Amino acid sequence: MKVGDALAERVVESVDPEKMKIAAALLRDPNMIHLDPAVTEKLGMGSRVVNQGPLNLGYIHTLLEEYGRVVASRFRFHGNVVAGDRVVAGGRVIAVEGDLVDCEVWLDVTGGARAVSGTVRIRRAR
Amino acid sequence: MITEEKLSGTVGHSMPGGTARVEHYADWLLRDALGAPPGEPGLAHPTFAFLAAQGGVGLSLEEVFAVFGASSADGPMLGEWAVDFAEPLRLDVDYAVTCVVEAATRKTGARTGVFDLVTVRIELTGPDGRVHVIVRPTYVFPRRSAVPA
Repeated sequence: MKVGDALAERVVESVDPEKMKIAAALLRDPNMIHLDPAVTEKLGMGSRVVNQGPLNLGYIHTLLEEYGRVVASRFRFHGNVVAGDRVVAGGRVIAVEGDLVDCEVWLDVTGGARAVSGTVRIRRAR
Repeated sequence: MITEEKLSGTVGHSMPGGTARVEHYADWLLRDALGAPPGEPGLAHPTFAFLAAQGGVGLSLEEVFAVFGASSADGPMLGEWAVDFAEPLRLDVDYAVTCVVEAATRKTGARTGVFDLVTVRIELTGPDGRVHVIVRPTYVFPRRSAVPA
């Protein structure tokens, strides 16, 4: 891996609301915007349930696992991902020092906006 | 609305804390939700640090918000999230969890109006007594009733 290299993109073709139910249970997250479209509608957020933030950054972490172990990561949340969205996790190498690799990373909604951006450090798999 | 002085006074405040343990089946479920392949044997998916940390704070999210004079009805958001791994998070290991407020500041945005940014530092300490994982979520608390200065 060298500076400027792009990470292989990881694509979720359609964010599945059934997976949000698993995440809600794991997170013990009572927010119904992840479960009930009637609630999102009532709140003026549209008719599709909202993906949990940890799942959004989890797509990026999953991409990174292909390259090594995550040592550190910093994420900023910019917007929502909703059921049915196509999302693409991507990244680019910005520094290399021995077996440590720093990358800028992101999660984009196809046809929409950037949902998450951040920087990560991974230790390359040997 | 909590005063700026009281908000600043939350810095250093400790949450009750507790313990965290990533069960192998829970890691499987998270990987399933993410469409992630199996990981290294014995290691949790890195995103599980989020769940383990939050679950070990010793308060519900609503109770955490209340420390800062807010509730879920105010529309708090997770603005940022960071993790540092001194060691990878391991499956079926008991971690001691501590949580302290690291920063709390009031801001005013041209479009957003007044809002507070609060960062907490959550440490997961392994059975060897060393801190293995540090997680820092930053919450955004809109203060819609406040008038921008």
